[in-house]
Amino acid sequence: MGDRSALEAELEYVKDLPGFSRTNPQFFSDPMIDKLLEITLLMAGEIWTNRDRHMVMEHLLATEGVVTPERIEAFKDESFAQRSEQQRLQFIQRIFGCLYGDIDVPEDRNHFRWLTGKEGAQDTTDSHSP
Amino acid sequence: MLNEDYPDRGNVGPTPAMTSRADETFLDYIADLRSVLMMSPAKKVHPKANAVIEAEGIETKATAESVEAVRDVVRRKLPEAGVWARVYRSTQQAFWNRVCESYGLREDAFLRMLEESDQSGPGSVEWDPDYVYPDYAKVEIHLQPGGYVGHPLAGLRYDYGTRVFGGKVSENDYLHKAMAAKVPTPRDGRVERIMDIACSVGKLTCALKERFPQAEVWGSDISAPMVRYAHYRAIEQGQTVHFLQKAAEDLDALPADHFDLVTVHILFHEVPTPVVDRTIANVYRLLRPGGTFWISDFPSLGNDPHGLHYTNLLGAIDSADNSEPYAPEFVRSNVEAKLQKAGFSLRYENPADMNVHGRVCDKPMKGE
Repeated sequence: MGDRSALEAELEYVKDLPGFSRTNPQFFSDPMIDKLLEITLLMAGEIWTNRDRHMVMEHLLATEGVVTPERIEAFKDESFAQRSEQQRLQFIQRIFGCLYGDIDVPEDRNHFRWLTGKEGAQDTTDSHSP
Repeated sequence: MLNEDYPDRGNVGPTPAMTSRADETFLDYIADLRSVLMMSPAKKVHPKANAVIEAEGIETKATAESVEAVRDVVRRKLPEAGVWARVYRSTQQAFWNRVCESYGLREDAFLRMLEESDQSGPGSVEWDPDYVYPDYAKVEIHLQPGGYVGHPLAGLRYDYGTRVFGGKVSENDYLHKAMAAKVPTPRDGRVERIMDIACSVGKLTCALKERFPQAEVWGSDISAPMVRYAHYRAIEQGQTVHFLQKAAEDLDALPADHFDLVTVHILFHEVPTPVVDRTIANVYRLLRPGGTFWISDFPSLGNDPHGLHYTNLLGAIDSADNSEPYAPEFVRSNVEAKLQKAGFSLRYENPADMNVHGRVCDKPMKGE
């Protein structure tokens, strides 16, 4: 095994790097705006979650005539999930579109490629889309 | 996974499902929110913000002062960049919190699950309950609570959390399967032993086993929670893979000239430079002559001199406020030069397809 103490001494500098400890950043002139935007983002998620539950209940009542908490928890349906995803994206655009003037759903939702700024790159993941 | 208080919602592939549908639905919303409010607007927001940051004369450095100077410009002049940064930060916290809360409701059951899989096969796991982690490894990378080493369910949390973080690319392990399909073999074609360093939850490790079923496949990681969960996940997939808790810088404890193929996926930007250097030296030693080293990670100064080097808005916000403290020094380093200095010959590198093809190096045959 390598010399642990020598490496530890060499790594002392990392404790001063930004991000080594968790930050509490402020991105707006008034910190309350940071908090209110966060609350809005989370609250919309809770609204969507309720809406999903309503949609599942309606679907189960229409197709099976009965609904129980256990049936809701176990519910899986691919075509329902695809419709739900489209509605969710529209829901997000409708509520938050004003933040940037106009926004659209990116065709390429590969987060890793986006992060590195190589969105135009072709790679073989394209032929393995889920 | 059963717990008498919660119905069994099964798995999503090999990953245990969220404890409730509400948690799963909320996390689907967060993943889409990030696509719509982060990825798409970044094309417009980043160039504009970067121009203003440069006009202000702020030099991007890995210091708290440099990061705060960027935040200050955002607060004074760039409200849209403020929205982008707030969405990034708040959604990141939100999905980790929800994942941890949801699995936390069944924590005892998950701990029992790991204890049982520790003793089960196929494959194996070796880990040390008394291991003392170096400080650099305790960072809460990507804001994951407890980081990779600070909670016994870190592997489980990471698995579902990265489904949200990565978006569509993470479903069904398809990114890792696509990578494994493209990992190059040594020039003589012999692949009998494979080591996947920093394997985390073992997605690439298992995908390599799928591609090379006759090979003895190992995965190593500094984190005990990661290798324990990786072993559980491999069992769920019926894969005979061996997992070992071992820091990349400590792999000199393994036999020399032993492996035909060594892979490292997204480790180098998450560890300090001295650890990268030791890892490269260790891999050179571990590989047999003619063996191949495959690295998938961010582009760096070495292979992308005019690329994005983590400057300005993204550099400041991602390194500081998404807890990626080591990424700036990696992307500004010349990893290609380090590989060649260690003795490797560079077969292939292309910054444009780093997710899949990565960098390919060969350890020369004796006499070459």
